[in-house]
Amino acid sequence: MDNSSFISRARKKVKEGLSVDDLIRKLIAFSDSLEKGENTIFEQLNDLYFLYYPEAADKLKERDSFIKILKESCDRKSVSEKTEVSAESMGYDFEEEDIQLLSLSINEISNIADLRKIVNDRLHDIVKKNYPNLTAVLGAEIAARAIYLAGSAYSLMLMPSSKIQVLGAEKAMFAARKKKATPKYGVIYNHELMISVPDNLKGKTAKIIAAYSSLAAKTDVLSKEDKSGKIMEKMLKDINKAREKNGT
Amino acid sequence: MELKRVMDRVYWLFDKRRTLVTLSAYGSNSVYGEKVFNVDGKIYREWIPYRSKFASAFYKGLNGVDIRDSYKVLYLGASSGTTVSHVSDIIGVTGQVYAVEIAEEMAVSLILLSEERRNIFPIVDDARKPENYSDYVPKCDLLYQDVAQRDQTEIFIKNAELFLKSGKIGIFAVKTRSIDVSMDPREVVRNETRKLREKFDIVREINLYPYQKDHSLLILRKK
Repeated sequence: MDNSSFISRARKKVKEGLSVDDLIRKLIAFSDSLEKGENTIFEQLNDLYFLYYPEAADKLKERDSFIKILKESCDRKSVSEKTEVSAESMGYDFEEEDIQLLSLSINEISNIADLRKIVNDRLHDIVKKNYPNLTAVLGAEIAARAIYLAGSAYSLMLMPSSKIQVLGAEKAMFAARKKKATPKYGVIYNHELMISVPDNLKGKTAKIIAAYSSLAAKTDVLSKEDKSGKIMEKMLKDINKAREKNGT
Repeated sequence: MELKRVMDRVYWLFDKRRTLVTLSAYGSNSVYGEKVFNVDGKIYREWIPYRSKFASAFYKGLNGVDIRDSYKVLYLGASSGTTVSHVSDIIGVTGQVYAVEIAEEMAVSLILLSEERRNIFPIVDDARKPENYSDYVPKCDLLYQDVAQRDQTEIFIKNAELFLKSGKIGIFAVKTRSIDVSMDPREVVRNETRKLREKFDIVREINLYPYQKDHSLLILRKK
């Protein structure tokens, strides 16, 4: 018996089964590992730079400022002008080759940072285009992450909103099996509305946002219409109501 | 190097340490990075216990199951085809292994493998719904399941009812952690075997530690 009919059927199934959600998932994973790599390289590089110019390296513990200041040139003279650290250093004097190596590495890490930005922008575009309602409620970044954690937009849609609320807090959720309180929020914690809300309302706000993102996910997957205006209006009304009740 | 037969087309290869190998039915290509040995002009592929639950059962003392040349095998949870490739070795070019996998990305490697090994019949479908593929899968001589789902026992019984000939063997990899995380693993296996007893005789139960964590392999015979 020949298996070619099985192969063509299976090939078709795979082709149909892959969707934009898979792209979203992969891009998130890619962006995460880029960030991770960026951080590790930065740490090592900062450490290396510390040997040459400890006074400046100590001041440039932030990744972005480190890259920004050292990108053009990283010898003591030009760095000391930019950072107002004295050019007199107790560090080890590098040879020209070593300094070149340093600037080459800093260029690389800056390239990675640029790439990550491009990946993120593209990711946000994709999410916004395909899931307008969910993006309106959660913001592109969190919407993408919610889809990533749920596996697909379809399974996100099937989830009860209480589960959406704690997406990304699986560890705390499992800890809650052994005493301990259940978590109030997962990835939703980074939502822009959560920042302005007082601490005692954070749980409630997370609940409201989760409820509306469940609604938005259903709208996106099932009707594919953009009703984000209406949904947002209702959500903000609910949140304001909760705030008024709280007296803030 | 010395070969010792375990069962048809499966051997222990003694060379410093013992290695489980299958006699390759399709050339000398390595499928997933396993070692390939050439003994007296015949090609043997290493069967790695850490990669395949079936292989680890042999390392844990299994000395043969009813699977041989020209058998039809239904394999649920084929993944990327690691174990499937060895099953395909054992049943030979005249056998048929129907490999069911639901995850598209995993299925891609399985499909590519089946293009090389023409006795693998890939099916991209949900093993929970055997009626989806019952139209084109015949009655089988062996049912192998490794799906790591909470309802894996029900999946196994459903498929065995539809596809397994009576008196034939079913091999069932129980992942205790996917059935219940908090329960004692031995308790889980006991519960599952209780469900299976109605329709199967339990031939053997093999704990796969240390090759696979929290896994047991049940060898069952359909009544």
